[in-house]
Amino acid sequence: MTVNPVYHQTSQLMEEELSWIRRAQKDPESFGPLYKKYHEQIFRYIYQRMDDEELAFDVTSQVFLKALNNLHRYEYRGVPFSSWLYRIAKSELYQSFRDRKAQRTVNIDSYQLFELIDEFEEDGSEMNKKRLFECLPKLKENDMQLIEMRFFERRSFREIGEILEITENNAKVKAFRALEKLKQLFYATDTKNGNKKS
Amino acid sequence: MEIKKVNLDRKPISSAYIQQKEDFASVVKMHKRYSDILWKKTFFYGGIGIASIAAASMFLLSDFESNTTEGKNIQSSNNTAAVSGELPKNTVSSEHLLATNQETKAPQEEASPYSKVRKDKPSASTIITHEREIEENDGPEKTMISEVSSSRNVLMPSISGKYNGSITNLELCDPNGIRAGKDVTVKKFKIQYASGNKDNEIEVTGNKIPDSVCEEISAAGFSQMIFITNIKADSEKGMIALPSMNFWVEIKG
Repeated sequence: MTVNPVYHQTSQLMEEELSWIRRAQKDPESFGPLYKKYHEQIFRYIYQRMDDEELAFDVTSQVFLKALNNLHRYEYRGVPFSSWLYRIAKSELYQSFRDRKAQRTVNIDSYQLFELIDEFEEDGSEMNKKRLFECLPKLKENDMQLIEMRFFERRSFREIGEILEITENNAKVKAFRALEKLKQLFYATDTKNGNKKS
Repeated sequence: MEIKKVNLDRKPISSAYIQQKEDFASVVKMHKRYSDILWKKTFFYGGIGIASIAAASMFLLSDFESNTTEGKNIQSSNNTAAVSGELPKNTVSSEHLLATNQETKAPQEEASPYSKVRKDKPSASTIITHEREIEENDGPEKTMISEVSSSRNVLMPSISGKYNGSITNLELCDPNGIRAGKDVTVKKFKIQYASGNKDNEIEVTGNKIPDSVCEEISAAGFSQMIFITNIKADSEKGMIALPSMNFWVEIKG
């Protein structure tokens, strides 16, 4: 599986980003380049997990507002600024679910569904797609977000680790376990339907 | 958290559309509003502290100023004539030392042999910090008197403007006696001194060193340490105790 290159940053880009952060810590107007760079990424992260587009834009604005308000507390730890933004986004997103402003939604397209079935070494038949589609909501939230980040958003394990504040290896292990759980659900669905896999 | 819904093949949103929705200005605006609220909160809560400190400072300052003014008033009312009348060739470095006490010229002064003393008396409730240097050119011997008193917000007794250190027997026996402020009158005290071979301790009623004690100290003919203790004074607050004084008395004249 290829990972999305948009999340990859060279050290030069990270240095440039750090200079923007330092400037923005002194002058909020200088936060502009960071906002421009990450607005779409953060919006897509949020919108991926909810149904309401307008609310997704609102939550995105809240994320950047919170980031700006707390920028003086930001400490550079050698990882892209985006991982800090994603953590804020996750917090804001879950807050909106708790406030019942939004409902947790999984958004998936047919191709992603096919790729996931391929991970199970099953054929991409319509029936298998339907089975997988049915078992996705049964997955626990922690596992679902790992599946989303790894298979739907195609993030590297390194980036998943940075967002979830775990090591790259831990992210790899957790993503593998989440996939195993989904597989179990997939086959459980299969068993119930009487189509037990040989 | 329960996953409520799974959408398959939702209509994608283009990057151009997301960019259209970018509104950095509103984020900055909200941030400024947030900062303002935070500032108000900080100011509000900090304001209470600042106000308390300011009130306390003003109170202390006004108290200090009133004491200082009181001291100055005493000085200005007491000191009018130039010292040059008594010490014609003196060089005095401090302004208020140019003045001598009006009370020096009081009738009682003439009755006492100890009347020819310099009488600048910072004997207000706050002792004013000052330094003085008197260069006496009358004789071959130059007398340097330096006096440093710290500014303290307590009632300090003094004799001839001194509350400790060296003092001459003439200054000690200042007819104005022990002073401690405008509205404070020393009522009694104890004095310990040596005369001949014996140590004496007597309790004195009033604020003046008795003439008999002055004569004994002068007659002893040697410099000695004297202690003035148990100083009780009448003030607006009633009878109060004042700090003790000790002097190294040098015999002059």
